Amino acid sequence: MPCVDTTQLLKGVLDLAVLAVLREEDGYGYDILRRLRTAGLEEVGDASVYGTLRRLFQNGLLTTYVVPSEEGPHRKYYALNAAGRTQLAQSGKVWRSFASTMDNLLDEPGVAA
Amino acid sequence: MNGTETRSDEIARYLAGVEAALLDLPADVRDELLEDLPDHLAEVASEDSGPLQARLGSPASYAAELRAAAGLMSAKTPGTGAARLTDWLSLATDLYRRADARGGRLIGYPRLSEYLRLLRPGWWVLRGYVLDVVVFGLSNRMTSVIPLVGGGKWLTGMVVLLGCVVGSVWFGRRAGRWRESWQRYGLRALNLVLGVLLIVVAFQLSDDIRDGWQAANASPVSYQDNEPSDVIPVGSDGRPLSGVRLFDQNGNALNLGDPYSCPSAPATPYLYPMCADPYAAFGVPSWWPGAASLGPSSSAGVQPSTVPSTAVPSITPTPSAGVSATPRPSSATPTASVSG
Repeated sequence: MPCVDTTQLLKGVLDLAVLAVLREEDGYGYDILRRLRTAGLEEVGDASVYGTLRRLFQNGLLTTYVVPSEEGPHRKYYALNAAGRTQLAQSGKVWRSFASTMDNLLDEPGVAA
Repeated sequence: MNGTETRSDEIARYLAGVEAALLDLPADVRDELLEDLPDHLAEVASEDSGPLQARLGSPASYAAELRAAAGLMSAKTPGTGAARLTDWLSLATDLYRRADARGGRLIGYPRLSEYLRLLRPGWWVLRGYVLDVVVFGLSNRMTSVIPLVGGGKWLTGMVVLLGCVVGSVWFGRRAGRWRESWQRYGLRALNLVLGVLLIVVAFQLSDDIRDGWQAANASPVSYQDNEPSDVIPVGSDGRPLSGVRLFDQNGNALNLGDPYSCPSAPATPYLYPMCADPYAAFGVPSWWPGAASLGPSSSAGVQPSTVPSTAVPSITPTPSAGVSATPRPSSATPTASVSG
């Protein structure tokens, strides 16, 4: 294998990333996509974000509401609900322990930092 | 339409492409999945002046990504290879539809395929002819436009051709009612093969007709594939001659060889040797002193020996490059009149 494929990594953590982005502030699809890209996940695909939002909503982790806008179309905003927050906390823990395991693995002697 | 697609046209087309790739989903699920897409595309389009497809990938791959991220596996579960194939197919269909509509507009029909459908009976007749030629004509050389069957008889050839054409038309009318997809694809493949063969037949026919014409107009002296490109006369003393003309027993000039095969065109064609430095052909450079006399074995290299025995050329050397218009039937000994 040539190197770590970031798109493969993204697939595993995109749910968590979307939940995390929505923790501070509600957002509509394109806005969430932009926040993820700004945060550094530049390779995230448009369709992946929209699909993920739909699945999280379907699983009862998000609520939606429509905001009329003066200049453009009405926008569907997504917000975390209680289940979403719980999920974010749990998944966050799993990620942290996974990340620290990987860190330890990489910090072992013999592996270049 | 004036050739350029507006941005909203492009968005609508992209949207339709994504929707088409999700047609296997229940309508409510699909609608929900596509709810945000028009706004999203409008926003992408307003930010980025390039084509949507460059930024987002093909509609089919967008749909596949959307589907995968939403956790909605398709009935077909496209793998990466299959997804790529469907992408290509959707692109090809798209191109075909555009060409179809654009071509139709040129000739005043809604679609080019609609017009071509009108020509179908004509193709059936042509197909019958191609079949006839392929089965009965290509096996032996085509000597006429209609393959002559049964000992080269026109009548039987015509009957067989008529049979092929009638069969093809009958088959075409019958195949028009086929509905199974394997039948329709099989028919398309067959028509494609026969269409390609039609081109082959056309080339073969034109070749054969030209060959026949050439055979009828061929010169009486025939060397088949061994035609000399030049004649190199050598005297009995082994010295090469120059400015030599050739005549046959009737005094007709023998124009052997091809002046255009020389590295540089000769000043007077058919005055042998025609090419400037023919002695290179013997492997001896002309500046070598011995090149002037090629030794006793030189007669083996004399080109006129390839002339058929029926037309014995009498070598008539001319001392200068001047034209000797009077043919001298008796063979002259060239030694005395060699120039240079």
